[in-house]
Amino acid sequence: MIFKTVQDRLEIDELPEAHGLSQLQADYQELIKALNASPAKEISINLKGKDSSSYGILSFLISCGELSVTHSAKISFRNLEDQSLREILKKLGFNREDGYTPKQFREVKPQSIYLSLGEAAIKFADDVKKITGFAGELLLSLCYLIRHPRKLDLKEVLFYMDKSGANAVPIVVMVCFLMGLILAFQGIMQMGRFGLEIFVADLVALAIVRELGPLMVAIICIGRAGSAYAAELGTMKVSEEIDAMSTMGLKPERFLVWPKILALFGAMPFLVIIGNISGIIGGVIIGVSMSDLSLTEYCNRTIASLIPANIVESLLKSLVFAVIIAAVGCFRGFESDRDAKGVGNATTSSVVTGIFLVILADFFVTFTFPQIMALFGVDY
Amino acid sequence: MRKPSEKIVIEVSKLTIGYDDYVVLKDLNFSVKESEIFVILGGSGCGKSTVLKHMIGLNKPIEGDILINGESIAKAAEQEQERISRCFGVLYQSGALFSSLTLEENIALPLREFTNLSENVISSVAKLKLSMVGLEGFESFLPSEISGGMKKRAGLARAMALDPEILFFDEPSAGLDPISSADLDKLILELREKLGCTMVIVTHELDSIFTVSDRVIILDKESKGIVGEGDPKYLRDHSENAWIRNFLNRSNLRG
Repeated sequence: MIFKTVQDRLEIDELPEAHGLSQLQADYQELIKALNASPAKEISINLKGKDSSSYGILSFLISCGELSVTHSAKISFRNLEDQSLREILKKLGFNREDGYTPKQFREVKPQSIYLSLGEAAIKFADDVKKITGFAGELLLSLCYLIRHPRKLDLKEVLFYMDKSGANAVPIVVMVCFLMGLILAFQGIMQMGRFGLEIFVADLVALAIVRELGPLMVAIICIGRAGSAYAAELGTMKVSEEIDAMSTMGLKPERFLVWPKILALFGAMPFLVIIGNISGIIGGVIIGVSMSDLSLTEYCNRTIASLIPANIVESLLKSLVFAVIIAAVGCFRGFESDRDAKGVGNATTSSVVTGIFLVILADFFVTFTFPQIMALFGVDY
Repeated sequence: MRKPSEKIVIEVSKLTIGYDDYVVLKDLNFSVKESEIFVILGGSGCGKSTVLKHMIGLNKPIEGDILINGESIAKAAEQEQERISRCFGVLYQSGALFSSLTLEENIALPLREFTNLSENVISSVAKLKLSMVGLEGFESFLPSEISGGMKKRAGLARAMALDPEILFFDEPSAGLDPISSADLDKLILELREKLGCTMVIVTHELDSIFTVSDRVIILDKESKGIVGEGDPKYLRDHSENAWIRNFLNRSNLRG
């Protein structure tokens, strides 16, 4: 490239014959350097003998155009003889004698933090509205199912029970067992200092049964079942299966959502019982091996510390969580965009929303349970 | 050969459609007669599939109305819409078969839901519909185990499960080789001959347009409306609009 600066005019007199990509980069940098060294009011390019056959030159001309905008300089061409080059330059946005105004159908807006915050708030409000609507739809189809119980596909319920319930047993046993070990260890480390090892049995039993058992199982189910439901329904949306279902007059809520909710509703209490037992066993192992307590002492203490209402609380939580997890998974699946990324996002947000709503529900159940028990005359 | 009757089964009036604030097509007026094979035609991105989605009630129009057998699907409440939708079947672009069910179960699903037939009868109806589209013997296959052309035919069998009066096709020949595509055209003509179904087809496959259609409307992205209507062969040779002649002759639009 040969160029010179005449007063405030940058004159490019000669472009190289062939403009490869590496040449393009070198020329571009040279041009910027020249423009920074002495600001120009006009960039003038000699196009003598050039035609539209070199993409390299065309790309370079676009770069010049963009530089002319950022440096607020005019841009003009000399000796533009080739008709097709003239047309292409016009199409690229060199549509006036001295200006570069490329077409842009969508302006890229700069992301401001306030804008993002506002958008997030609107999206959250929208989500709340949609979840409420979805819950309403679910209730309507539940009413229908109660009136026509034979319309429920039992095979489907059993399929999901097996998939999200039975297949989750090993991981539930592992996680809850480890949870029991950890709790007992932490308890002994602290309480042992005061010689209160025996209360570790209470700690493990109550914490696992009332809180951690249902919660751990819920988190496992969110990861295993909820996300799978979201991905499954999201994919069905991409392949138009859900559209097909609704134009056939088949309610997606009834065919796709309720079998999953009922399956988890049926399976989660069992998972929680299994998890509770594994957790307590974990506690026993540490409690007995790390203190002077005997196995019988520890077990008796565990049994004495638990009352039936604890188990009711555990199961109640598991049922509430089951409905939330399955419904949220399905909701996010229905909301999915119709592409691969959409299904991925749906799966992610099914897990995030699931965890949030489960913890929120846990809060409410934990705080209201004593009152509920009081209604039945149980002191809790 | 069966000819369309004069009875109007679908009537679209002053239809304006779009997404959110963006209008894709405006002020569409057309009607489809009984036993007619009606093709909605247009370049890519002109909104022809969107028109179809409105006609089957998946999307709601910004303005205007769509009557199917005199009942508005655009303004129907959910339950009404369910009832109206029972008189038509839809073949989706990818077939949209339920992937967890076998072909037979796919066809049996609407039968089980909307009829009082016993399981044995449902199974034999499903077998018959599959054989009508040349898929006898594939009853227990899953959608993932068959080819794209077979999926479309199975989708058609499912669309026909309840013997609908109207069939909608969304790009029936998309993704099919020329021979399978021609076979599907033959099947469409055969079904009209045997059953007298009204068919609404969205496509841009020229060969199949000239083979099957009685009447076409041509949508245009620029003017956001219908630019041509009538017999495709007549339009190809005699339309006053050069763009339509070029489109139907597959010639270079600038040339």
